[in-house]
Amino acid sequence: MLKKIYLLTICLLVALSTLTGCSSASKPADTEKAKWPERKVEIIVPFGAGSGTDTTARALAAPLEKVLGVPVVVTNMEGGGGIIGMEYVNKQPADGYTFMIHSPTHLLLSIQKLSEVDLIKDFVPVTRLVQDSVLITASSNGRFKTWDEVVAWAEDHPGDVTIGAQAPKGVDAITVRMISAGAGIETKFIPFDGGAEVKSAMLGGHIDLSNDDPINALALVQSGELNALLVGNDKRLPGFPDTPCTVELGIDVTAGPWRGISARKDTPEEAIKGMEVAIAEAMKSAQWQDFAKKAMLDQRPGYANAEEFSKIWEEQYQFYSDAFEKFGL
Amino acid sequence: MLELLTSGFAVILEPSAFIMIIFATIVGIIFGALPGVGSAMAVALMVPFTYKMGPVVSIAFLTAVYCSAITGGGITAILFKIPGTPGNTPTTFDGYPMAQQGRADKALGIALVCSAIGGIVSAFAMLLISPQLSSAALRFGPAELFAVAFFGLSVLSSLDSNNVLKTLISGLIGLSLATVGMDPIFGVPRFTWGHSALVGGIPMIPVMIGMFAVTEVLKQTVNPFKIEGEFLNKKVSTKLLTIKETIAMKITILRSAVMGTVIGILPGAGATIAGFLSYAAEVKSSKTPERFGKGAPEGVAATETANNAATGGSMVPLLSLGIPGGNSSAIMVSALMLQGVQVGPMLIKTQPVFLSGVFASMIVTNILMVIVAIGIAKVFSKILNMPYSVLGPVIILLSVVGSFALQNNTGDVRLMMVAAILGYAFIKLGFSSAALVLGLVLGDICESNLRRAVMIADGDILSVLSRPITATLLITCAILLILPFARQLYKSKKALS
Repeated sequence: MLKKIYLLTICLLVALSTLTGCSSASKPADTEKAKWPERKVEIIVPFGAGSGTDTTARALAAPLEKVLGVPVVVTNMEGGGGIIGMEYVNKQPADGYTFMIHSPTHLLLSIQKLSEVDLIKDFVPVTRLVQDSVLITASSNGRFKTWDEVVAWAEDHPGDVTIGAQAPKGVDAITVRMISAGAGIETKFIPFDGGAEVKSAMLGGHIDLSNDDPINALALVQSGELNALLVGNDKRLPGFPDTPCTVELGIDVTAGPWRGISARKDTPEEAIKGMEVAIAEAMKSAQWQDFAKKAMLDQRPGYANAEEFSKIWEEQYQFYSDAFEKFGL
Repeated sequence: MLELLTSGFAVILEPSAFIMIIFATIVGIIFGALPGVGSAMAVALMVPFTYKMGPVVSIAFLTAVYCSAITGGGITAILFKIPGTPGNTPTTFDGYPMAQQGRADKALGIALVCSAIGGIVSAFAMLLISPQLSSAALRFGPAELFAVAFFGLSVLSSLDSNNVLKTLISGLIGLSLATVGMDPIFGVPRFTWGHSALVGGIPMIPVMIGMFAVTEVLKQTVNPFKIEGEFLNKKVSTKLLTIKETIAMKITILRSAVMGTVIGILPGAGATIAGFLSYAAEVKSSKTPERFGKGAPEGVAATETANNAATGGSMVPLLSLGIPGGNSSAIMVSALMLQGVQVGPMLIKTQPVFLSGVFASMIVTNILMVIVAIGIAKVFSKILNMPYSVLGPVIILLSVVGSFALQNNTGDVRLMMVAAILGYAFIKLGFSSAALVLGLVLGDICESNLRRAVMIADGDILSVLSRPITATLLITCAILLILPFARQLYKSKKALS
């Protein structure tokens, strides 16, 4: 009896696997004629669960599903600082069913030529979703209460102020260096493995300053453990009205991490356009607006359509390339 | 205090919440037992279930998944030498030999009871002295974290007493492998030979699965006679520890619970390091260190107590400062953010029910866990009765799926297979896979923290090493290294006179 069940299960499994094999093989032929989208759309997150790109992708997926009328699946493909996921997307057929959510990190990968797949050459922008800011914080038990104090001290003691950020050549690290240079001071930059480690090191008094996303600093600023010294933007953020912004202090650095959706270069125009329109619609939903508010991603205008996003790529590629050259990275 | 506690238990014991906690415990153990699906992935997969819950129940639910995943990993570590989560790796050192000697039930009993004790002790620490603990943990900067990781490396000297030199060489190979990937300070790729797949470094989990689980299958396939009689037809009854036995190991359990909690709080450390360090401390302080690696129950007790204690520890900086101590708690932060709750110092002050809710959930989960895990262990151990010609391929299948599931990446499966062959070669040549994995785990933390500390100190390495906590840890480490030799010397002198 048992043997029979065993055999039956195997037969069923084999039958199932052949069936799925057939269906996936026959699909591409259909899509050429059919209207996009006719099946599920996948968004690859090249970073881990719980990361900023991950929460953003998942928040977008729910309203996007309603607009598109097909399932939107979010898959994490972590590793290599964003490389593994990008290379995976590049291997998928350019049929408009696999997209990638990413941050300026992927522009930096392209500048550093860390992968054979190049964001600029192999991908096309679809929509920028959000623009976050760099917020420089200090422990309230530390040496500095305001950015002016930092500047005053650093002018007399070049290289004495330590500032921590995630990853040696990441977006945060470069922005922090650019801000120091813009303020005309010399700080010592200490790279860490993750945001939580930077914050612990600063709260413990091992480093002076750190940079953070506004949302991650909010609770500690409100409780008085941290002081928010400076935000990298041309306006003060509504959520941190007392924190000066870089531009008002004459520092021309407003770059910060953004998150946007891209697709493989040869993706049919119809799918790119369709996705662009659908995302714009999804971002109007109450669900998305609520997320943006809770994650403090409503502090700066972030939305950019494909054309604008393409310009942002170009400008920022130049900006970060210059920064790499300037700091000899 | 009493009011606080009742409010926490009231939330958890409310029927709909309680059912979810039971569900979380079962799912957590199963995910934990599957290789490759670590606690962080288990928590991430469960986040969608929290969308309809209140924020307190959400974090209590995710905490339950987290705690039980670490426990589940111990079951497969003992029965199949597959560490379900990296934190269970040292459990394989003694748990698997115990299973081979027909003492799987004893090993499982120890693992489950000690897990529960570790979890409960750390939950109390979290409830009662969270603010003190988290401010103490903040004193651990890069210099101190280097010393902690270095302390962990001292396990190398106690992994295999017969072959100290080969064990040390294996550890060095592990440390060298840890240097592959992005340089943590300069941000340039090292030893990647132009392969972008190596930029992220060599992931630990596929190596671990390959070198332990698959290597074991290869070994059993080549020498099948070893498994006859002993391994097969053993019924696993998972007898719980008797009170007498627990008391006999009280020092081990207590020390491991404290170590696990403290290490869990430290930024960047977690259940994995807690497990290894506690195992090391156990071997170092044992009067009979030669029994370890051959089925010493204390080895299982130390590891399983500590890695579960680390779960409570990692909740401390999360709840008191809003700083996640590891990947699992980082996912909890983002899950709560989606509900509009900012975890931070104010949260516990204004809504202490978050603290008591998590506490209640940890207590309930740790008790439920033992009951559920016994059931699951029984099911798993039925698999042990299969002929090895069936079981072996099943283990390999699980290993392949587990390596792939980690990052949805076939490259990791290839890495796992290479590691399996290397692991087999290591056994044949008398090298130590455990030492290699230890080097790989701790190499990154050691290197990046030391370099960071030296950078902060403007290159003055002496001032880094002479910081009070760092110096104390390093000196303790040196004493522990010398002690066995001194003891031996003393014994031989005594014998002479």
